[in-house]
Amino acid sequence: MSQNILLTVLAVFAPFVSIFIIGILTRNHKMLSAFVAILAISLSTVITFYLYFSNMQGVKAETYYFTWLVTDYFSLKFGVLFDALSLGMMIVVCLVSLLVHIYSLGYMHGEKGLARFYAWLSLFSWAMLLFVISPTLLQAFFGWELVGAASFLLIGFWFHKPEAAAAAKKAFVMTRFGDFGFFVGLLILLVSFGNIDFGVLNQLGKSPAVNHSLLTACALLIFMGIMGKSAQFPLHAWLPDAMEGPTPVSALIHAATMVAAGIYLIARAFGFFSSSPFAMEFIAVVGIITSFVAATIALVQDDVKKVMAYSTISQLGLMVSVLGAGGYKAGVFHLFSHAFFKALLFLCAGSLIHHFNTNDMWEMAEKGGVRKMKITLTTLIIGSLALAGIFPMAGFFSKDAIIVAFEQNHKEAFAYLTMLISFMTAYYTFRMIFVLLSPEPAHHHENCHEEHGHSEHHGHDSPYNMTIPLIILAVFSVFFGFLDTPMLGGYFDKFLLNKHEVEHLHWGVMVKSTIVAVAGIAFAYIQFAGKTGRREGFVEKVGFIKNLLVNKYYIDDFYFLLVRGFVIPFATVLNWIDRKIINDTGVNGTGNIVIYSGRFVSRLMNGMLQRYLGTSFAILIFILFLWQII
Amino acid sequence: MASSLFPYLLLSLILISLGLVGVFIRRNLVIMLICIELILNGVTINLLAINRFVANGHALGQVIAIFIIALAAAETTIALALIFLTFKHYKEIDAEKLNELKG
Amino acid sequence: MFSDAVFILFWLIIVVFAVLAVFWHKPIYNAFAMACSIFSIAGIYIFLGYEFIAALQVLVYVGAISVAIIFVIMLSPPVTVQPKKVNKYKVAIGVITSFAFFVVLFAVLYGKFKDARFVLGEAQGTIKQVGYLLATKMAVPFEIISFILLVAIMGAIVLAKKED
Repeated sequence: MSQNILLTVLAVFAPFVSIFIIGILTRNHKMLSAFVAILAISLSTVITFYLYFSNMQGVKAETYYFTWLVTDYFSLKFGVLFDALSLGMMIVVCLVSLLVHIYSLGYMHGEKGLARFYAWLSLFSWAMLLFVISPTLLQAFFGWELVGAASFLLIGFWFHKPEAAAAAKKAFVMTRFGDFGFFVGLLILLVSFGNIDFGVLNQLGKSPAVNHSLLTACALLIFMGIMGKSAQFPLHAWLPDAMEGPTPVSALIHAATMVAAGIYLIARAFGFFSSSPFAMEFIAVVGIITSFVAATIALVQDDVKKVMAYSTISQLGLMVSVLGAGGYKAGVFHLFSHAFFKALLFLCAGSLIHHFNTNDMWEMAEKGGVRKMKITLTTLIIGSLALAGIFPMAGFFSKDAIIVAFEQNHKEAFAYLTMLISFMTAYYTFRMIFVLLSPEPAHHHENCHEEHGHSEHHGHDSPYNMTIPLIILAVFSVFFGFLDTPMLGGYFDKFLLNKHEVEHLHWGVMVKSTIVAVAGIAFAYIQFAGKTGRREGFVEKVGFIKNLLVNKYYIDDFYFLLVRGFVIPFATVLNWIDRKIINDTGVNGTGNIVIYSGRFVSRLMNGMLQRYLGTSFAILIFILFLWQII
Repeated sequence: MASSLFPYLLLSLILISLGLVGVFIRRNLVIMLICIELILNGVTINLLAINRFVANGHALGQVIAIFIIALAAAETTIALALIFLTFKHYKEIDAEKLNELKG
Repeated sequence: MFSDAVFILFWLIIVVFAVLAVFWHKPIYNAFAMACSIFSIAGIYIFLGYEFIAALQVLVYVGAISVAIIFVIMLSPPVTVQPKKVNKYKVAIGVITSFAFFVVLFAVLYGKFKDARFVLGEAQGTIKQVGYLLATKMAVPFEIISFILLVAIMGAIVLAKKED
C-alpha cells in the first residue's frame, strides 16, 4: 500500500471513527462531540491538502483493493481509487465539510441534540468520502446510499417539525425511486461483467464483444439514480423541500457535495456513459431542461433558501448537461467552483436566517439591518457575483468553460440556452440582493427598538465561527476560477487531464456571457433597487407565468395526484392483500395451525396410559401399512 | 394341518392382537398385565414356529425362547410389585383414574 | 387325522381362553383363563417338537406367573365396581388399531407363508443341545438373564415391603 493510498484511507476513516466516538462516548456532551467531529474532519482536510501538495504537479492514478468476499460468480472487493478527480473531489468535500462543521458551532448554538447533529455530519462526511474514493460501481453504490441515509437524517434533524419530517421522507422516497434504477443497472452490470472497476467500465464500450444496447440500458438506468440524487427534472422536487433541514446541512449536502455526487459519478464513469451516444444525448437534454425549469422557478421565490435551492438545481442541470454534451473538464470544473460559491451562498443565507429568524427576503428587508452585517453582506455579494458569472469570480470561468464546451461539441442551441439561463440566474440572484439592500422604512427603526427586546442584535454581524468560514469560502469563490486560465498555465487541465498545451481564452464567449449577466443584474436593479415594500418584477406581472412558476410548474401537484390516484389505491390493495391474505391466512394461519394442532395434541396428553399406547401404536400400524403397500 | 406353518403364525397373531386390544381398552392394571403375558406368548409361538420351519428347530431358537420366558417372569414380578404399590398408594388400580401425568 | 384334530382342539382352546382372559370382567377369572390358555400353548410347543420348552412353559407360566398374578388379585381388596363409563374414544382407537394390526400382519403372513410346511416330529434341537448351548456359546446372556431375574426379585421385595 503506497503512502497516498494509506493517507487516503486515513482521511476517509477519520470521520468514521468520530461517529463511534460520539455515539458511544461523548453523546451526552455537546461541545465535546462537536470537538471530536471537527477534529476528525480537520484531520481529513489536512491529510487531503497534504496529498494535494505532494501530488501537485499531476497525480499518478493508483488503485488498491482488498477482497472481502469471493464466490464462484464474483468477488466482492473494496478499495481506494486515487487519481486527480477523486483527489479534487476529496478536497472540495473535506474543505466544505470542515467549514460547515465550524459554522454549525455558531448556527446550531444551544440546539438540543447537537451531538447527534455532529455524529450525522461525520456519517455524511465518511459516506461521501467513501463514495468519492470508490474504485468500483458497487462500492460507489454503497457510499451513494449511505449519503442518502445521512441526508435523510439531517433533513429531518428537527423531526418534531412536521414539515421537516415530511421533507426528509420526500427526499428519501424520491431519491430511492431513482436509486431503484441505479440498482437495477448496477445488477445488470454485475451479472454481465462482474464486479469491474471504473477503469474497465470506461473501456467497455470500446470492445466489440459487448452488447451496446445493454450498455445504453445500463447507462440510462444508472442515470435514473443520478436524476434522483442530483435533483434532475422531474425528480428534482425533493431538493427545495429539503431546505427544511438546518442551513449548514443544506450548504454541505444539498449544494456542495451530495447533490454533486451524481455529477461526480457521470465524470467518474465518463467513458462508460460516452460509449452510448443515445444516453449522452438524453443526459444532455435532461440536464438543460432541469436547468431551465429550475431557473424559471427561482425567478419568483421569496424564500432565500428556496432561491438558492432552485439555483442549485439549475446549476446541477448545467453540469449534467455539459457532461452529457461531452464537456468533461467543464462539468468537473463547474462542479468544484459551484461547490465553493454555492456553499458560501447557503452559509450567508444561514447567517441571515440566524440573524432575522425568518427565511423570507421581504421580511428581512422590512426588519432592516442587512447593511450592518458587513461580512455576511460582502461575502453574499461575492457569492452572488460568482453565481451570476461576473469577472473575476469562479463562476465566470466555469460558466464560460461550459459554454465553450457546448460550442466545441457543436451544440449551439445548448450554448444559447445556457446564456438565457445565466441571464435568469443573474436576475434572480440580484433580485434577492437588491431586495435585501432596500432602504429601511423610516418609521421602522423606532418600532423595532420598542417591540423587539433583542435590538442589541442589530448592527452586529454573526459570530466569528460563522463569519470565518464565509471569508474562506469567499476567497475560494474569487480565486478558484483562475486555475483554468492561461495566467496560471491552464493548471486545472494539467492537474485533471494531464494535458500540457494551454488553451487560449475564448474572448467572444467571455464578452457575451458578461453582457448577459450584467443585463440580468441591470434588469433586477431597475425593478427592485432603491424602493421599499413588496414589489413585483416583470415576471410576476404576467399572470399566467406567475401562476405557473409559483406553483412550480405543478410538478408537486402532479406527484400529489399520482400518489392520490394511483399509489395510494394500489398500496391500499396491497395492504389488504398483505393483511387479509398473507398475514391472516399465511402468517397467522400457520401460527393457528400450530396452535390448534398443539391444542389437539395436548388433549391427547391426558395422562391416560392407554390412550398414549393406542395412539402411538396406531401410528406404528399406519407406518407399517404404508411400508407394506409401498 | 399341524404340519403347515400358517396355523401357528395365525395363532400367534390372534394372541398378539387380543393382547393389544386388552392393553388398550381394559382399565384394570392386573388385566393389562395378563394381556401383556398373552402378547409375550404370542411372540414366543411365532419365534418357535419360524425356528422350526427355517432351522428345523435349532437349539438356538429354544435358548431365545427360554430367555423370553425368563424375562417374562422378571417383568411380571416387577409389574406385580408396582401394581401392588400403586394400589397401596392410590387405593386404585384403574388405569383411567391414574392420570397424574396429564399435560 | 388324529394329530390334526388334537391340534385344532388346542388351537381353539387357546383362542377361546385368550378371549376370556381379555374380556372377562372379574380379574380372578381372567387370570384363570390366562393360565388355561398358556397351559394349552405348551401343547402347541409339543406339536412343534419343543418338549423342553413346553415343560418350561408349564413350570414358569402356570406354576409361577399365573400363581403370582392370582395371589396379587386375591391380596388386593375387591375393587368397588362402579357403573362403567365407557370411554368411547379409547375403545374405538384400541379396537381399530388392533384390528388394523391384525389385518396388516395377516396379509403379510398369509402372502408369505400360506404354503409353508414342515415334517412333524423331526426337530433337531434336543435338550442336550440346548443345555450345551446355554453352557457354552450363550453362557454370558444366560448369566445376564439370571442376574436380571435376581434383580427383579430383589426389586419386587423392596417395592412391595411395608414402609416403616
